[in-house]
Amino acid sequence: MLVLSNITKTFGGVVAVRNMSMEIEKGELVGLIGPNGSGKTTLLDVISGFYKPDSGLVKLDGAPLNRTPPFERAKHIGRTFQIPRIFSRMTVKENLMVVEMNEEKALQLLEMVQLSRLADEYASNLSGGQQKLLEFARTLMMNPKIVLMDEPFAGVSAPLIQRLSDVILQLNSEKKIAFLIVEHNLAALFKVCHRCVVMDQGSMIADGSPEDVSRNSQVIKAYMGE
Amino acid sequence: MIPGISSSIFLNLLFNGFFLGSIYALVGAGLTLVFGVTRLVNFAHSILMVSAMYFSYYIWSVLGVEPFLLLPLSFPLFFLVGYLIYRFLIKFVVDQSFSSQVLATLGLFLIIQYGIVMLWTSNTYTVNSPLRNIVFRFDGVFISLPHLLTFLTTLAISFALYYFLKTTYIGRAIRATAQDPEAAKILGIETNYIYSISLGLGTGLAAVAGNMLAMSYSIDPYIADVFLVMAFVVIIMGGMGNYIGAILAGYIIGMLEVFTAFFFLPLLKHAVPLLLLIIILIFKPEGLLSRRLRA
Ligand SMILES: Nc1ncnc2c1ncn2[C@@H]1O[C@H](COP(=O)(O)OP(=O)(O)OP(=O)(O)O)[C@@H](O)[C@H]1O
Ligand SMILES: [Mg+2]
Repeated sequence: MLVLSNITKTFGGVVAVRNMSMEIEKGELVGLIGPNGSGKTTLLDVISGFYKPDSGLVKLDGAPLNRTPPFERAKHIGRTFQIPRIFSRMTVKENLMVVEMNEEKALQLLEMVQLSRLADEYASNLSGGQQKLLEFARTLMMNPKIVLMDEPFAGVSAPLIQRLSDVILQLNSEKKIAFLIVEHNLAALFKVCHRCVVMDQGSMIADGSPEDVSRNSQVIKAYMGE
Repeated sequence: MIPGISSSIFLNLLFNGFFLGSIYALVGAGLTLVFGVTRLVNFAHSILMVSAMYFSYYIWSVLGVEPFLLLPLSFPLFFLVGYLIYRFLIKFVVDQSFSSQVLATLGLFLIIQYGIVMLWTSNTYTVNSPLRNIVFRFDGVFISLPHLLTFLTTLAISFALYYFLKTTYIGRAIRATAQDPEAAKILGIETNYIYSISLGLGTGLAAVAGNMLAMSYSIDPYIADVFLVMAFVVIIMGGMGNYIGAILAGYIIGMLEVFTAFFFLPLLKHAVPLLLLIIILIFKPEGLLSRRLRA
C-alpha cells in the first residue's frame, strides 16, 4: 500500500535518511525504531510531504506522491507528532471538528480514547499524555488508511499506554488501518506491532519480527554504541 | 463628569471617539486577522482602505450612490482584491524573511498610492452626501448620521466576523491555521487557500472602514500614512493577531486621540496613543488581553 523507494534526505552536510526502501501493506502494524538522531522523524516528514526527499519516491496505492502537497496526502495518511501539535486555544471537541463539522463522530472518537469527559475543556488544560490521545483521535477524524505516529507512548502514563495500545489494535483489526509507529519504549511497542524496522544513522539495518529484531546483533550494537 | 467641562461637550467628544474608534477597530481587526493567520506584516493595509475611499468617491461622483449603500458591493470586491493580492504577490513572500515581506507590501503600498496620485492627483476630495447633513441633536449633543452608521456597522461586522470565525468550518480552519499551520495541513487544510481567504477578509474590513470614513472625512492619498502607523499601534496594543484585542484597542485609541486633541493640542493627538503604546509594551508586552481571549 505505502511504498518507499530509495529515499535520501540531507540537511546541509547531514544525511538524515539514506537510501531507505520499505513497504507497508494494508492493515500492517509496523514499528520504526533506532537510536536518537537516526532519521525516524525525518522519514515520517518525508512521507507526510513536509520534506521533499533529495531522491527517492513515496507511493500510495501505486500512485507516486512527489507532487502531492501535505494537505492532500493527509486525506489518506494520518499523523501524530513527537511533541503533540494540538490547537491549544480550542476546546478538545473543537480540535476534532477542525476536520469535519460532525459532532457525533467527534464525540465517538473522544469516547474511544477516554477523553469525552474533557470534550469542552480547553486543549491547553490537558496533560501531555492526554494531548497525545487527543492528537490521535483528531487524526482518526480523517479516516486514514495509514497512521504515522511519532513516539505515541513517550511521557504517557502506563494505564494510558495500555488504553492507546488497545485502541490501535482494535482499529487495526476492525478497520484494517495500517500503522507506522516510531517509539523508544520497545516493551510497549513490541506488544502491538507485527513487524519492526530498525534505522541507524539514516539507514535501515534490520526489518523483521520484534523477536528477530531484538536478537539481531547489529541492532544491539547500534543501541549499545550510542 | 470632568470638572470645568459641561457634560454636553464631554458627550460630543465621546461620540466622536466612538466614530474614530470604529474606524481604527475595523482597520486594526483586518490587519490583526491577516497577521494572526499568515504572520504577514501587511504594510499595504491602510492604502487598501484609502483605495476603498476613492472607490466610494468615484461611484458617488458618477452614480451618486451613498458610500454607505456601497458596502454590500465593496466588501466582496475588496475581499477579491485581497484574495488576488495573496495569490499573485504575498504567496511568494509569506514564507520568506521579514525584510522580503516589508519590501513586497511596502512596495505595493507605494504603487497603489502613486497610482491614486496619477488617477486623481493629490488633491483633496469630499463626498458631499446629503447624509452628512442629517444630524441628531439633543441637549447640545450632536451625532451625525454617518457617525452613527459607522458605529453600528462596525459593531455588526465585528460580531458577524467573530461568529463566522467561531462557528463555521472555514472559520475554524482559519483559527487552526493561525495556531499551527503544520497541524492544519495534516488535517487536510490547504493553508495557502486559508491565507488567501484571510487576506481577503482583512482587506474587506479595511474597505468597510474606507467606505465609512469617506462619508465623514476628506479624501487624499496621504491619509494612508497616518492610518498605517495608527493601525500598527492598534494591533500591537491589542496583541498581535488578537481580534477582540484589536477592536478594543481601536476604541481606546480613537477616544484617546479625540480627547487629546481637545484637552491638549491637536498636534499631539497621535503622539499620546504612541506614548500609551510604549507604556503598554513595557508593562504588558503581549498586549491588553490574555491569550485565552483570542479568537
Ligand atoms: N530541520 C532539520 N535541519 C537540520 N538537521 C535536521 C533537521 N531535522 C533533523 N535533522 C538532523 O537529521 C538527523 C535525523 O533527525 P531525526 O529527528 O529524524 O531523528 P530521530 O530518529 O527522529 O531522533 P529522535 O529519536 O531523537 O527523535 C539528526 O542528525 C538531526 O540533527
Ligand atoms: Mg524523532
